[in-house]
Amino acid sequence: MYLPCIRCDTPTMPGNLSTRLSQYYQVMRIVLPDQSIRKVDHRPCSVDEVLLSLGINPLEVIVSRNGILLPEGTKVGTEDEIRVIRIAHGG
Amino acid sequence: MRFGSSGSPTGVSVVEPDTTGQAAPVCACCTEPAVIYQPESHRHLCCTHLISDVEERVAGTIRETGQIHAGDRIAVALSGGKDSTALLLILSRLFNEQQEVSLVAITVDEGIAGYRTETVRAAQDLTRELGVEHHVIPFSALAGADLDMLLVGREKQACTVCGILRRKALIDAARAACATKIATGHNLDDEAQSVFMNVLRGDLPRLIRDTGAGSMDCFLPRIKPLADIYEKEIASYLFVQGWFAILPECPYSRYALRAEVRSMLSSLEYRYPGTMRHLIESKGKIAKYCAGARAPGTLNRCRECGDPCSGEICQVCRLRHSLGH
Repeated sequence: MYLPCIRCDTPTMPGNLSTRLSQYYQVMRIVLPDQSIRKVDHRPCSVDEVLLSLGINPLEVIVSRNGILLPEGTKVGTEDEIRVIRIAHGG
Repeated sequence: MRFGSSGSPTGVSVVEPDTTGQAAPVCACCTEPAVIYQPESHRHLCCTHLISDVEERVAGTIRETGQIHAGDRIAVALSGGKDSTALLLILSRLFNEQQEVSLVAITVDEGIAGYRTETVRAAQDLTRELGVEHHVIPFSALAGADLDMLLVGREKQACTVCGILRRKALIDAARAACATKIATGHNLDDEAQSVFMNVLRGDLPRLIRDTGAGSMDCFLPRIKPLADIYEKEIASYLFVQGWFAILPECPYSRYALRAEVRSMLSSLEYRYPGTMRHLIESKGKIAKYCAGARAPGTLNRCRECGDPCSGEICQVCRLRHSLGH
């Protein structure tokens, strides 16, 4: 059995290997400042690594998980939903 | 390293794995989970210690610079945004009637559609909660029309026009409220941006100007108690107390040089921590070098309104003429 790719749904590889990899690479939901949602597949990594991969300067945002602020070095990963809130406002 | 837009459409990207294996950071002062990392001191802080750290540093700034004394009545410029909200919260905690310092909040409502209504409401909610006297001053009372009307066809001048009129409205309202000083919510990031913008414009007089000193009876001294606090610390300080509100952005901010400077400095600060503080320190050094050479400025009175100014007509009256008033 071939499971779909987590990025594009294309059948990709034998089920047992895909299942093993999907335990390692899981999809994280990130709520961006404009309220859009981006899915990122990765191994656990730090908040700044996630932000930098999205082209966001960690100094211009604060990040929360379940309403709790996360400092930049915090590890986030499997099945997390994190919210990115922009703090630098014009005006 | 490049920073792009954070508001991009949904999609999937791949993040390189982390191999550090670090545990969740805890506070440097206790064992609670950390909510912020301070690169300069290389330490993490929890909610409680973040709040006390920010408030103690603001108190230290006020004490070291002698910004507030017994008997002062402080007019807090309260836009309703995060910086002025934090400023009023902190000042209301640091000072009370026993310390013979009173606070009055002043909100200038420029009349910017889709922007100001929400922030004015936030300011009203805050002052009601804190029991602080609050005055809302509409732009139309000063300029005869709101900002949106004044800027038709000249949107690129928004920040200049708004800045001049807002400053005038704030000073007039502070005087009317019998304030002895005006406190603004400028943070460390704002200060660094201002230094850099003045350098970019080659505006040395403005770069070294000290607005905190006042000048006899002509100007109300302006103080900036948050000048030692990073913007991110302020946002975090409010967030952990439930005071951080996501408010709309000024629609005219895209025309401002400050927006580009902010992004550039923020990027540099991330890569080279301390950049912003160094910029601010450079201002002090330049002012020191210039102190002996500075020509004594002649202070005149505007021939139209009588306000203090450096020329014959003040900026506000000049602006009124250019706007056809």
